[in-house]
Amino acid sequence: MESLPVELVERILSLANLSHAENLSCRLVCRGFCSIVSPTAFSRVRISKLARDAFDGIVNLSQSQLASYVVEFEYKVIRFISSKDIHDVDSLIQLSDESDTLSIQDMANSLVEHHKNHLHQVDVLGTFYDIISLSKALPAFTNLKSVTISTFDGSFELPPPLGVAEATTRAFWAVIKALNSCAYQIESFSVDSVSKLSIPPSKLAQIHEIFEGLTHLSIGSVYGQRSYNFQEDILARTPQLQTLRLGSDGRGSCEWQDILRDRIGTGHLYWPHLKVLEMDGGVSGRVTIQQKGLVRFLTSHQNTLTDLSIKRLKTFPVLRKLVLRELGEFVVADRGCKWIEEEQLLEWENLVRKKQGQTSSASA
Amino acid sequence: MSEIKLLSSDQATITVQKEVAERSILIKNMLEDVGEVTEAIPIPNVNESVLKKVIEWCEHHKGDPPAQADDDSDSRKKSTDIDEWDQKFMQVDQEMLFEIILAANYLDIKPLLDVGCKTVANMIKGKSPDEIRKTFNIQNDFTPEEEEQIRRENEWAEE
Repeated sequence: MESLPVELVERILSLANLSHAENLSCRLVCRGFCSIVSPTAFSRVRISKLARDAFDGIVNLSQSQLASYVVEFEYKVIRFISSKDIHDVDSLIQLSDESDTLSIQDMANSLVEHHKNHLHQVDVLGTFYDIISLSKALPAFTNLKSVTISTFDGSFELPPPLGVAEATTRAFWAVIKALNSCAYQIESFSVDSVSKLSIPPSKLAQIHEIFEGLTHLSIGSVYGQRSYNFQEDILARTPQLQTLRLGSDGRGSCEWQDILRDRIGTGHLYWPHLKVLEMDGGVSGRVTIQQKGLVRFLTSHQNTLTDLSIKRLKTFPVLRKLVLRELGEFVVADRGCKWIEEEQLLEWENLVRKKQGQTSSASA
Repeated sequence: MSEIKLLSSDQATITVQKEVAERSILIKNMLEDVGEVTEAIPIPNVNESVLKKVIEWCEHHKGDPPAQADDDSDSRKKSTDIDEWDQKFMQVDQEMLFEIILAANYLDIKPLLDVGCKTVANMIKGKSPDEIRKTFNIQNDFTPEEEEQIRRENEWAEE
């Protein structure tokens, strides 16, 4: 192995498609391996514990020479343990959802574990350790391009269980505040779920600063009473977007009515560079969208869109036929139906034929 | 079917079909530049046994479609799957394996280079640092302090 030039060892390690843990482990083989795998091993860092040591780790990393390798940061949010439950044994055991199969000893251990987690939580939140740590760490990750806030327990149905909204909101603002301290601009922002909290204008400016330069935005679900901020003030302020994914987290239901109906559905949003659009209404099928507005929206983006996926939206039958999944797989609308946007639909059909023609000639 | 001659680093002359030899982009370009050649083309970096092994691979794969422009695309690059014949072909001692990789790199035969690299990659996967060192006879050149520092750094990124 030592007879091979560095570029061939790089090629081998790249082809090995090593897991994150394997990459870290390979750093310990020798200096040569260490220098080759370190950029990959630290390209993605993640916080998945609400405890000081997790935040200390990321701060230490940020103060080391490895900081420049960090390209993606993920904050995996753990739902908060509500303080009113902490001394309620039954509630605590229920949190684990394993009460049926647990022995008394296991239950006791589980209870201690929950108490420990609660202690960490109170410690971090009470001292703002999360916010202070991220504000110190993120500015040092000068090559950071992508930030993801994901929910630890991705299986919940909406509305989310107690503690999720608080946890995601806290994480969201911790990240936004930290990014506000950064001299660089990230390209991609992804969040599994956002609570529709009222955001005062002063705080909106903090979001705008981050979102204005984004090229990729993904928002899994928005829950709560109103989403006015996202449709009016946030989505409309993302002029560089190339990829937009809404409700694409596969959750049981997503409440996208406002955005889809009032903004995208009316064709009022326009992103000059939009290439990929994915919208998923969730399994509940509660999201209704105006076909006329949607067609107007799509037509205005036809020169840039290359990938389109629209799933589970409640629409008129004609739009159901126009299954807009991947470009080149459009189903021609039912010509028997009255389609008031006939002209625009024809434009779409022509575009599809053109693209399909290009695809088939390319494959030939 | 026209044939050409190759001259290995240890001065052995090997006759090979032009079509087979042209799996090597280096040889292909050379032939395009100089046209017809009667004398043996020197391959100074590859000895006879390795060259024969490389030619064996080229003969088996002579009918393969040429590598695509997206040769380095993620799907191709990241897959460690190896064709059954290639797996058997690569059942050689480690020295020969590395010699084949070096020869494929020198002769610019990307598919063979990939097969070789994937074979080594598969030998790395799932092994501890110590096992990797033993497998490839790599010396641990860290001081104890450096090793401790790397372990600490790894903890920062553990998930």
